Amino acid sequence: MIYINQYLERGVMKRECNEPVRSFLPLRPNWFHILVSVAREDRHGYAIMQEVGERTAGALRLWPATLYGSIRRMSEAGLIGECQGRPRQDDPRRRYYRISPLGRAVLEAEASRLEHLAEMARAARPKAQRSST
Amino acid sequence: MNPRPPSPGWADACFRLLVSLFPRDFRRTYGAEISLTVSETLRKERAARGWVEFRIVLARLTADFGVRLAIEHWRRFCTAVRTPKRPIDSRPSGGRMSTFGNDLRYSLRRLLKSPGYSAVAIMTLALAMGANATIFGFVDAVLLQPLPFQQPERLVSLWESLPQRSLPRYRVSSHDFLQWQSQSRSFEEMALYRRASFLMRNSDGVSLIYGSQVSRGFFQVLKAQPLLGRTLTGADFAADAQPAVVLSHAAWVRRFSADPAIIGASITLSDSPWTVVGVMPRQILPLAHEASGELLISRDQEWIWAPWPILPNTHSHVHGALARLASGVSLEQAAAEMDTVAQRLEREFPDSNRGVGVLLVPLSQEISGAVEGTLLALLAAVAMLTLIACANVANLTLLRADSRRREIALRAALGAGRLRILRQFLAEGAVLALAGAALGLPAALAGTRLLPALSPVDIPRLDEAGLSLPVLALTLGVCLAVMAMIGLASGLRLGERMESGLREGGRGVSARFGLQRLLVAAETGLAVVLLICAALLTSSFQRLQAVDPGFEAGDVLVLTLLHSPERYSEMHRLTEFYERLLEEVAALPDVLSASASYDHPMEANWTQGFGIEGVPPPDPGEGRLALFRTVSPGYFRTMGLDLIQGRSFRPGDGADAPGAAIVNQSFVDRFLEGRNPLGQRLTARTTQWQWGDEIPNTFDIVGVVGDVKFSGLAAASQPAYYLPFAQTPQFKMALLVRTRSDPMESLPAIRSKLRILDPELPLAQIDTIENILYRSVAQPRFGSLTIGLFAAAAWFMATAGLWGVLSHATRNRLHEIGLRMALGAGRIRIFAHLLSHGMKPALAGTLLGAASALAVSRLLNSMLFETDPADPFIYVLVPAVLLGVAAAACALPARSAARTDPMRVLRRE
Repeated sequence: MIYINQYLERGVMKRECNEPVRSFLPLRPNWFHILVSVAREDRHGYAIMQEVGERTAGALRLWPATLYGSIRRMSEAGLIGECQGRPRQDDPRRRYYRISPLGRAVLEAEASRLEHLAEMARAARPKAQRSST
Repeated sequence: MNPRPPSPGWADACFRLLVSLFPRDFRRTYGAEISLTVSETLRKERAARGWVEFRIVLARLTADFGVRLAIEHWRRFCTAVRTPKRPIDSRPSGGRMSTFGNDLRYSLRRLLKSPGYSAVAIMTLALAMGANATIFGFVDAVLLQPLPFQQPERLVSLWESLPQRSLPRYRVSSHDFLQWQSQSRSFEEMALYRRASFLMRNSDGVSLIYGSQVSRGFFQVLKAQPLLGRTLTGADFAADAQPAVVLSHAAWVRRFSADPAIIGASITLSDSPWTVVGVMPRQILPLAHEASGELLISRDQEWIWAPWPILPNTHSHVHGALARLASGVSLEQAAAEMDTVAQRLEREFPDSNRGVGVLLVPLSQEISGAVEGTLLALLAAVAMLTLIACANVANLTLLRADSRRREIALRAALGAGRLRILRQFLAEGAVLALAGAALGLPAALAGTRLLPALSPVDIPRLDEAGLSLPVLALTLGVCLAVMAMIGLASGLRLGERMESGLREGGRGVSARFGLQRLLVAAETGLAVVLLICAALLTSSFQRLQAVDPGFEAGDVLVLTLLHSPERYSEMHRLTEFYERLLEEVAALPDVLSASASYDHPMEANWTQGFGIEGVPPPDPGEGRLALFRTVSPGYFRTMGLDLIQGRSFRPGDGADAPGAAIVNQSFVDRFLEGRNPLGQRLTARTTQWQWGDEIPNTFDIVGVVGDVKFSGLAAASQPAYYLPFAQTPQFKMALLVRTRSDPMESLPAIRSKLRILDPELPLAQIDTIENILYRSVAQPRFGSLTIGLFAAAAWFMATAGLWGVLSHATRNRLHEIGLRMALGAGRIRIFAHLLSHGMKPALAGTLLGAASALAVSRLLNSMLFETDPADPFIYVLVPAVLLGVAAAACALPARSAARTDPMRVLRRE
């Protein structure tokens, strides 16, 4: 059983090697969207959920327990951190999350990886289709 | 002041409870925020969605929590295992194990030490959870999942309703639909559709494809978005428009290899070119009424949708109508408006619309209404089975707790508190429940595939059943309930056990086994209810199967042939084709007789109005309608139908001869009461729309035949009239061939004859009448088979529970038995005493069960065919058999106890 867990945590172990950014790639879709969400401004968990839902037009829905599981593991991996600043009227139970420099570097690397993939897919399409689109 | 969330409802409270189950470190960091987020999510969803959708959100939230709880506990457990153990003196005082994970590990070891108990408990739970997940999977897929259309709750199906003619749901005529459309305001959009068959020609030859001809607005009613291309728009319905067609996902994949370039391509349908304009996604179901009147909605159906400009016709009732309720209009408001419209039409068109009402049925109900009863009965049965399994495991756990009193007392003496011990029991419950679920869920997955295969039944959307999120959530709920139950059963009278366990010779605290016997009584009662229901359904199914369909079903092959109207545009070509075909097929060595008909005897597609000469026209609203069938000479002989009066059709009843008709007995009883049917004259316009006035309008009744159960064995006989094929030919016909041996063996020879006569004629459907008859009772068979299986499992569990409790009780009472025997009690008396001790709960349970079954079986009334829900034979037989088996289960331990040597027992004590 312990081996299974080691397998599951392989990702975290891998990230401790010399190339911290590349070891995160390919990034899990949930992590990618959470990083995008906190890249512009600090957000609390519910706001992340809402933003991801709106940005993906409902295609990706982060359910609360999954969201906080991801937030926890991303915090442990150093991709996001908690920040203290918050609106004055806000509920004290909310925690605000901010992207870390490592998180930003990982997000950029993942975005260029995806762009590269999309380019490749476009190039692989037959000519006729490309011209019709 | 900080804003607070709204006052939490019951759902908030449940999820807060789930949050409290997370490992401590996770809970401390994120617990408060998760609760807040869930609370806000629930508030938003509750405001934005209907109750059905909100329930789905709840199920998904629960499943999300279930998965995350498992992951976080697993991580916590693995971290604990990897962390090096601290030296003993550095542990907190009292040696408390700090995590639930450690409790789980300890429980696993304890359970491995008593493999018998663990195996029985796990298998029982697996059986119950597997059955539960299987049936709930069916219910979820068929009844709970919303239809794959936008805002499906606003979709309604419309029917004409003729209560005076015993036709509560009658297909719609295009004339009435157009009137409804122009006069009603309750609907955002309305559409008419009808089933159609098309001949598709490609490089491999001609093949048949089914589809719907739909009116303008059909896709707008459904609000269905295409996967590729577009749906049909207004321009496609113009008279001069290029014919356009939309393909179903299955047709696109199988017929065109999922080629995206199909959009804009031209295909040949029924010898004319059509342009493919769109492909629908897989989840969009074809909607068209089957021959039986039920909606056909298998999502793997190869299907096409073609535009169809409506032409007003008052006679042809062959259409389905769909509508989308306008925003803010309820079903009741729409129904009230349609009643007014129907009354107005009655005044405007008294000839055709007298007594014609409008019936609105929610589309979801239309699709699953027929099977709702069966599925809910199955769900109730499986719930009872789960209760029995829980009672059985609780019983086993109570017995085990009794024998663990020493261990409990020892742990209490070493400083373990009551809560600590209870937590340990809960962990054991969790291990058993999870193991049961781990075995039960794969079994359920297999069950959802196997049960429909075992008893093939056309239940819409049954193929979508599987381990969906609601199913997993329910299983998680059952797991938690089982865990709590096992914890409670073990923890019952914990205080007494903690104190008395170490006293030497201390007998079990529950020596009288009161609770166990109560549980056995409850189990037996539930098993009796299930067994009686299963027996009623089986008896009803047997009666249904014994119904005479009115024809001889054995060894008849049915081939449905569809002719292209372009190639057979002249009537004589069609009639000559069948004359030659029937002649050549009848000459085959293994063939007894051959004939052609529209429809085959288990179909009832065409209801047609008619008049009887010399009989005054009935009051409007009491119009004459009967099933219309066109058959070749020899049909009645091929199908083994009894000719009651007159003659059968002859080859001479051709296009040039006077019209001839044969009616069935129900027709005579309903329309020709007190008259001699022979020589009466029918007037009917049947296939004039195809052939013009080439065919006769009046037909002399030349014979009367027996009734046939056209609409299924359980349905009442319907009046029907048969006309000769040569006088009313049809493009779609069923070729019926009676053979000497297995009809399928003659198929190659028949096919080669067909190929010679018309190499381009596609075979739409090949089947045997026996198979069609078998499938027509698939649903009752499925119900009685499944409930029967559950009842057998329940019976087995209840008997095993009874035996387990009695043998344990007997073992515990050996000392008392030895003493009684030493004081002079005879073996027979001891045996009788123990037997009666065991039989009392069984007897009480049986009586209560029979009484409850009397109440429960009333709910089955709609599923029973000619069977009294209070059938005294079943109410005597089932309890008697069950009590007999219970007596045998009690006799075994009683017999061995009565055989014990009193001296040996007393000496050992």
